[in-house]
Amino acid sequence: MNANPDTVEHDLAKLVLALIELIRRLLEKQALRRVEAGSLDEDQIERLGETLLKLEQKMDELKTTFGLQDEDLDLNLGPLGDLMGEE
Amino acid sequence: MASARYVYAILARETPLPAGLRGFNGAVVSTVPYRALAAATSPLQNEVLRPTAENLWLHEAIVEALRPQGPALPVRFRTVLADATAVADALAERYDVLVADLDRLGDKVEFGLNVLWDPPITPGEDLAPGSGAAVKAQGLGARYLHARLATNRREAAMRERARALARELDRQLSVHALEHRCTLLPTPRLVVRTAYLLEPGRVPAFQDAFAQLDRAHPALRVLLSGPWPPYTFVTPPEGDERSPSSRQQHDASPHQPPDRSNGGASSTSDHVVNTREQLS
Repeated sequence: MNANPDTVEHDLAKLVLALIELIRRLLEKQALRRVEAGSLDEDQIERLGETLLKLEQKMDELKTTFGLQDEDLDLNLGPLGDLMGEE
Repeated sequence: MASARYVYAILARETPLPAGLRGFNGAVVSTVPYRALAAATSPLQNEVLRPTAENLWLHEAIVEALRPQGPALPVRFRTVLADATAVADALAERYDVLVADLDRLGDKVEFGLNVLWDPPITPGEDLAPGSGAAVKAQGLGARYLHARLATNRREAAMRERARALARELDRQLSVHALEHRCTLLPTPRLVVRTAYLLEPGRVPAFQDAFAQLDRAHPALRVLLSGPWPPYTFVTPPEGDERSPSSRQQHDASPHQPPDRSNGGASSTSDHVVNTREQLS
């Protein structure tokens, strides 16, 4: 992140949202694994899905507020690849 | 006051420049030497060089004019250093790497392969557990999760097909190449983008192999461009490497040469490097 006083707010928003997006994707991945494995009942699937849906919608709102696209939130995770890369 | 220097390529110090070679704004191209190397540069005043097709092609023309004179390492478009001293310092900082790269790449050429497809959909990929009334009976959350699951399965199937196709292409083309670097599915329509490093003598065989490949896959749009200077294979400065996933199976291209395959319009505007203090 470049510590430019003119862009520090925007850069910080980008970093924070990127981290939130990372967590969101990890949670979603885990949820989908459990759905596929059949280890969740219908109520659990519904609650989990609703939560993840709301989280995705909130992220979209925040990205719009800060004028960010998906690719702006891409983080290089070193050996793990890009956040927005192949899962 | 010393002017900024635009850098086109790295040469062996004794390499003569073509007579009358002129760069941006008609400035004379000259060399800045350091030990056994030299950088081919021209002065730049206060111009801001935009990544237009015209500017990209001029950069490319200079690099290609230098290569018949001797081994030359192409430098990325819009590499501008503060003055001649900064150029020499940059050569000093990466001297061993640049010498090794010049030896490894100086007389080699690069070809770029782009393969386009209509993303395939096969039976069973568009799965959702249940349909019609069963799906409608699900709540919003369940529908969201099941839809995500279906999307993931579809994407995984597409990646696997792309991977298989890339392997097949590689089998036929990489035998003619010294190295190749592949990016899988950079976009949904672009199956694979690969850069091949070749000895100049292998170019005809490589082009023949490509022609056979093209005929064998009528459903694909296979675009080959080159020969280019080997931008993709130049060792990037530390801290300037692309992420592993952008390399996919192999190291990715940090620089995409101007795209000749579509009649001259440049495709490098997304890959332009801003002014940096290091050379690559």
